[in-house]
Amino acid sequence: MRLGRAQLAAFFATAFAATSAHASPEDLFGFGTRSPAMGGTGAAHAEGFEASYDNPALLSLSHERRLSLGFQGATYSLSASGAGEPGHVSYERAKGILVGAVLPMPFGGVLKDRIAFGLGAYTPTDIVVRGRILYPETPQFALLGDRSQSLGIRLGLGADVTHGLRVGVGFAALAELVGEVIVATDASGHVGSNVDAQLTATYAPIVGASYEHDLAHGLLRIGGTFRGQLDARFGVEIDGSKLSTLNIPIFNIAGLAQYDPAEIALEGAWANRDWTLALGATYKHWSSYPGPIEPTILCPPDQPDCGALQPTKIKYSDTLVPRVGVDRKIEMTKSAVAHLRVGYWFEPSPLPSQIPASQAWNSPAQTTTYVPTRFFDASRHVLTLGGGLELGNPMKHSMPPGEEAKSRPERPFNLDVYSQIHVLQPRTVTLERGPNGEGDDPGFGDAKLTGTVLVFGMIAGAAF
Amino acid sequence: MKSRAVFVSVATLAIGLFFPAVAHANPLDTFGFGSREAAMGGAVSADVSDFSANYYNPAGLARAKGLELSFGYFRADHFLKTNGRENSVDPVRGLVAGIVAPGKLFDIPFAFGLGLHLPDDRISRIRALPQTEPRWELYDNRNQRLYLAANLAVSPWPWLQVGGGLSFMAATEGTLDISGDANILSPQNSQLRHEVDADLTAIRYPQMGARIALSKKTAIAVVYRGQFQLDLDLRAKLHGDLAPFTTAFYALEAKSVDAFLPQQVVVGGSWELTDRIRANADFTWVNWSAYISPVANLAVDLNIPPPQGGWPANITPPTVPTPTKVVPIAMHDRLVPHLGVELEPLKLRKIEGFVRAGYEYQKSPISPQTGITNYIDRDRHAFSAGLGVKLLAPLRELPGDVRLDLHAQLSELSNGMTTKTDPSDLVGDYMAGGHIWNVGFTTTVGF
Amino acid sequence: MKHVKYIVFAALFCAFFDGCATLGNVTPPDDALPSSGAGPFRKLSANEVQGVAPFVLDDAHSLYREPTALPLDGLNADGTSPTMRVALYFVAKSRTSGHDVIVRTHADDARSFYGAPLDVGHFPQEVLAADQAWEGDDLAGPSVVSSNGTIYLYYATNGGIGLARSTDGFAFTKEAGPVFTSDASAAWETATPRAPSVAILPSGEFRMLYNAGFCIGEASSQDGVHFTRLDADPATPALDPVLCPDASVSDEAVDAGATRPIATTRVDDPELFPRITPAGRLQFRVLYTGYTVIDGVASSAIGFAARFGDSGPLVKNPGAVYNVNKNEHAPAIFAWQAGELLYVTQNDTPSSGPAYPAIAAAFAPGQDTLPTPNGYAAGP
Repeated sequence: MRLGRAQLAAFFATAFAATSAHASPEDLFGFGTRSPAMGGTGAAHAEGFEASYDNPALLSLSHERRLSLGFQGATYSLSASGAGEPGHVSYERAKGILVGAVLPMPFGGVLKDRIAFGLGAYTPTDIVVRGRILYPETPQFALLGDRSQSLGIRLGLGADVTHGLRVGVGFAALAELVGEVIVATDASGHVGSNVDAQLTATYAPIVGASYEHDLAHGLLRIGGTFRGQLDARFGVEIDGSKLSTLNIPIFNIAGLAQYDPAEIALEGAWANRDWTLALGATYKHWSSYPGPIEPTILCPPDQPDCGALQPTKIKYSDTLVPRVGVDRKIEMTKSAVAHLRVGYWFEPSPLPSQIPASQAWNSPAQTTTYVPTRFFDASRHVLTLGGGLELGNPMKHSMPPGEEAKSRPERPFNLDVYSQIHVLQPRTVTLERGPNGEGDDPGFGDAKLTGTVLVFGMIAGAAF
Repeated sequence: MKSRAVFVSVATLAIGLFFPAVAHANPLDTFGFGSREAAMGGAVSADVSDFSANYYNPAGLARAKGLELSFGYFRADHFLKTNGRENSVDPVRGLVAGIVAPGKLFDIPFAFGLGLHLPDDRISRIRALPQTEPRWELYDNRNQRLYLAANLAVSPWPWLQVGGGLSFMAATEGTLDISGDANILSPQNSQLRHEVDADLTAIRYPQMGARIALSKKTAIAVVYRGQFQLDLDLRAKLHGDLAPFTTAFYALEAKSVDAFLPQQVVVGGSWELTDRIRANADFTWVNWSAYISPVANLAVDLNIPPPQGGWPANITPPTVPTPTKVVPIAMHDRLVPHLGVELEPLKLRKIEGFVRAGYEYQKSPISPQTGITNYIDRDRHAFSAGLGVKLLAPLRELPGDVRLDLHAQLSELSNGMTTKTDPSDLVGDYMAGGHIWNVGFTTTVGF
Repeated sequence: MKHVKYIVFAALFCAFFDGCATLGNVTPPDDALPSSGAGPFRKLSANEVQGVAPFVLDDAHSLYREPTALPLDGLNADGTSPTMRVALYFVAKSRTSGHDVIVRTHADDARSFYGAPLDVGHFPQEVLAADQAWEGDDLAGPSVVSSNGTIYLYYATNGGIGLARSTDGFAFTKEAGPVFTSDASAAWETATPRAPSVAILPSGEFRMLYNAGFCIGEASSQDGVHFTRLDADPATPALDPVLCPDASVSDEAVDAGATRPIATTRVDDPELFPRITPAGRLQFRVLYTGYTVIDGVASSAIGFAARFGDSGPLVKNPGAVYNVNKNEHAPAIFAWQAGELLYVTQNDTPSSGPAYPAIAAAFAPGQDTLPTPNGYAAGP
């Protein structure tokens, strides 16, 4: 189900009826291990470095320095069936390393124990960013598959203001590539190229706040986070016009390699000594998503409607993602505490059910034709499960008397795991023909989408 | 105790091998990292404990007394000339920042550090030029990039610190496919589409160091920085029609090494001559001989059959271009001495002041450019100086200290003549030389 | 005071985050890079020349061709012109006699010449026509050089190379006979000397390059009038030329990476422009037209050859410095502080009608862009 602006309030009221969407690894699976195990909740209960993504205000809950290291992987089983469709749509496994640190600032005076800095990063094991912008007729789950192949860096600063109010700020960063390649033959007939491109950083702000109050033998905290739009463009101009006297156009090889829409997460969490319960929703502003591809030939300013092929515009819709998560804490011994976590969220798809056709060149007929736009996506039901262990210092007993007391904190080690299963809600999308019924590709018509995504992650941490 | 030390060292190394530290040392090799260190000619491998240890010697992190946050800025302007004319080599400028977070793990001093140089203009630049085009090889493009490093360090015994990290940067590989109809009479009406499959792939290299305190006043250090290269591998394919005449197939593959950082080994020492005078010396061996030419290997396939009736008189069809033979660059390993001295003329209860000076000399590693290549470089003498002030417990909220350090460095590249063997060389003889000014500041808050 | 301290620390904190820019400013490549001043050249683009690029002088009737350049504001110590004011002398078909004559025009920006196609109603001024019996009907291949306030204009005729002198660049006085003619002792000369290019060496000596068949020879003079042939290789008994065509290279060798020579049948139209290099060496720089045959089709290109010192054979650069497959030939060069302009004869190929020769311009260094051209010059 997709959102119109006028309907936004109604959707907040009926959150469970909403639709689905996805983007970078954090946006697809959550960040860290605790939050992803609890249905992607965290705006009101995130701990440690995970708060730099979920809600930087909650970094101020940390009072010990902690380093975390882990890994995360995801496998896809996606299919599109129907006339002219391939059935299975293959995507490479996503796997990467998670790193996090939270550092409370040891200020004195009124700032004592109030401010903490956190950073977290997810990096795929062999790449930093994948920019895959395929021809529209190639079957692709464009919002799901390759978007998990991206480095994500989050930094945040959280402050405990007063009387249960916490605020935090931070940012996310991505790299994008822009540049120019000039291919020319020099005067001697040797082909040469001048490559002048640069990696630049693109940033998105993260702002969060929370308020907590004692309630029913526990603590109720309301948290809210705004995450700005984060996009990474791939843009290279190829100028081959100096290869000969042929008037070859300049190619604009460009598109959006990664895109996270602007988001607002609102959540309430209640916690006592043994339980943490969280319920929330995330609004995602997908309607500003311009689509992955840009025109190959840019029209000159004085001819904005020149005859160059233009990518098809798809009207993506804003979505609302309801989430719920539970953490059960079990104290096994004084130095060993276990956690069991479960959660669920529903990710509506921002993609419309009717997908307009894309223009292409038909070489045999020497004319422009239409091909189906096989951009696929479906809403997802996501079930999450996880566990954790907090452990005391295992070498404490071998320490000389007196050194034990210095070994702080009480349980410096943690190990957390989680798993998710994303089940695509079966969906039929209609791949439309050209505006006047043009196109002879057998793929025009209905395509049925199904699939699952399995995710696993693990993190070990140590306080020091 | 010994078993604990071994355990922690192994754990540190294991974590370090997986820890994602993004690093790219070129700008720091030339301009230093942190104002105190730049002012002392970079001779600090045995005398560093702040955020700059992330570059100079990760082992130094374990000497930090408390959490430290540092930030600053530097700007290096090139005044490099050939034949008496300025070549407008871009300045290197940007933020420097870092964190040192010491603590104890298994009751052993342990520290985590982050160091960052974030250029104002770009994370990194890819600039591949024809091999004949003159360029200041060590200053033009290689320093235009990010440095980000994360390291872990332990001090299993009070006299020994070891540390290390793993660094990576992004290389580029990609395939571009362009298809459709290129209209050569009206290019803006071309019916073209494209597809991109590009990856920024991770390149990793290690860095590690150790520091040994021989006495309370004397220490030595050894540091290793790994080699890395950033490949640029681009493939482009154009296939379709050239309206209104014929069809075209054009395929281009460009392979090059955009940046290459040779491995380095540093051996250094630090001597506290008096309570207020410290002298340092570092010697860096740089494996320049492994340097790879930054010139692209191009392979081109072009097939444009003539239209029926031949080409119109005003159109010259492209011919199959001749491939270019890349001439390898010849470089020599170098030993770079760094010398530094720090005086503390001011030492009061709430404030301390420092005066610093340093010198380093890098003999150019590039062979004389008598052939068709023009990788310009000259011997570099770098003279540096700096001031520092340390405020002790300046605020109730800042019970530690606040430090402000300033530096200025003048690199003098001695004028030298390049003469060509071939009189018909299109670049010809040239005189090259110049200087580089590098100024900056660093502020550190220690808790 | 306490608040000031807080403000200072807050400002430093804000500066930290403000510094996180990295927004991708694009900066141009390095400039003022060293060069021999001989290209490679790129043809001028539409924004760099008035009229139809890359042509600066183009007339289907007058057939402008074979230019030679004369800086109008003297020369700097490095041999470059301090300004972009330049006069061109070139061959044109006379509108009255129908014979080839030598005309002159000038431009203040080295591109917008008086009498160019869009400078309506103006024409270059005729300065020299054939009027001596030994000259025949047509003049060709002018070469102009200035020394001690006198402008020397050398030109090719049926009877050899002639000389005319002037003090104002318009009114020329001819020598009574040719200053350089055929010599039977030069076995390589299979035709009457033509296509002269004369330059003055730092010693004050006049030095001429010329074509006399398939190769280029060299001669010297102390006064610019009496020339003596020079032998490029005194080790051999014959009088040797300084530049000749190369042997052909097979297609297989080219596929294997060999450079295809640009001159296998003839070298012609020398343009001599010597200099003292920054290393203090005399560099004898020559642009020339190289002719070859590729796949049975004749083609031409502009090449560069040079030597260190004032005698001996020239060494060719293996590639071309200008090659557009438009029958380009007869180069002339004009250098100033920002670069070099190459004036060259090449075919203009209108969409209707036959191709005809016109004078085009090309520029080096190729990555730089020339400023927008001025208005046309007020006179020739």
